[in-house]
Amino acid sequence: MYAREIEGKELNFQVSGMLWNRSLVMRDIETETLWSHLLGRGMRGELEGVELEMLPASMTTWGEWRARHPDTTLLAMSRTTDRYDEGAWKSPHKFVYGIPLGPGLPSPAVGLRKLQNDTVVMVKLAEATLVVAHEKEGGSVKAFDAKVDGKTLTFSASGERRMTDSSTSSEWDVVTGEALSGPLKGKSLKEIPGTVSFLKAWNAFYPDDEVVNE
Amino acid sequence: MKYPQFFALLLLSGSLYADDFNPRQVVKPFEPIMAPEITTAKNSAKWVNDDELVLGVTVANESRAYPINQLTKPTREIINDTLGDQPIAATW
Repeated sequence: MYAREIEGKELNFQVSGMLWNRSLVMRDIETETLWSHLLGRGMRGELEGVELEMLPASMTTWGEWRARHPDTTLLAMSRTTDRYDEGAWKSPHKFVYGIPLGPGLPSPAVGLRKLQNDTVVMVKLAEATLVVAHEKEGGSVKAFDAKVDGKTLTFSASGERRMTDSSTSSEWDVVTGEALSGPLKGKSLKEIPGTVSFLKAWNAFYPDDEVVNE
Repeated sequence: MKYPQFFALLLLSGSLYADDFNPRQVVKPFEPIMAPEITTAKNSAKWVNDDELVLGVTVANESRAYPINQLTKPTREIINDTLGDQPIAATW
């Protein structure tokens, strides 16, 4: 999910019909720049080197999304397939939740199988520590900066839709990143945008980055 | 696999290097999708079931869901939309 605006100019993207590293190449019709869909970066043309801003999006079920966002609207186009229901979690080894932190920064990823087993996974990097959390009922995955008020917390799963930090034993909502009880009640974790991707495509783009799978 | 037929073409085409931008035209370009039809949660029954996966996004307190089953086809990979006055590209 990207913001499609560069310096106040709106871009409209089309599927270019090209593939690069097993992944879609987009073209904007305003400047005809070719963009990597996975990197969100202009690869050839006037906007080469420009990065699109990634927006936080969650992959979840419609039932869960609507329960959390009663006023939501939705896309109303005909279905092109019917295979993406909760069953997509039946092949979790094919997917990762990838978190590109930005130019010059690492792009860690966590395998969905790992998330399915552990639900809460800590990702420690030199630059930051992330907590990646999976909510089983809706199938959503979110990544958050584990730092709160300058202190890096370590989280572990503590029941449905909840995780607990080891420093204060506060209880946090794994979907919203809010502390619901304990000394840190009312604090919120900062969400880091990420994306569900095919493991093979992710490895092709980020061969040097870690995929947490064990 | 989203497009096994495309992967097969790529695999036949030899090694891939992430540093080189060497895209291959595998099909002709598709018309961009702009200003798509949007409906409310109340009218969702025809478009999505509770157990289907969606890509959900919130911008400026406005939320919208993009059912993955509506986005799964090369022609539907990118939806140019506007949410909370922000132009967005829904894609995954």
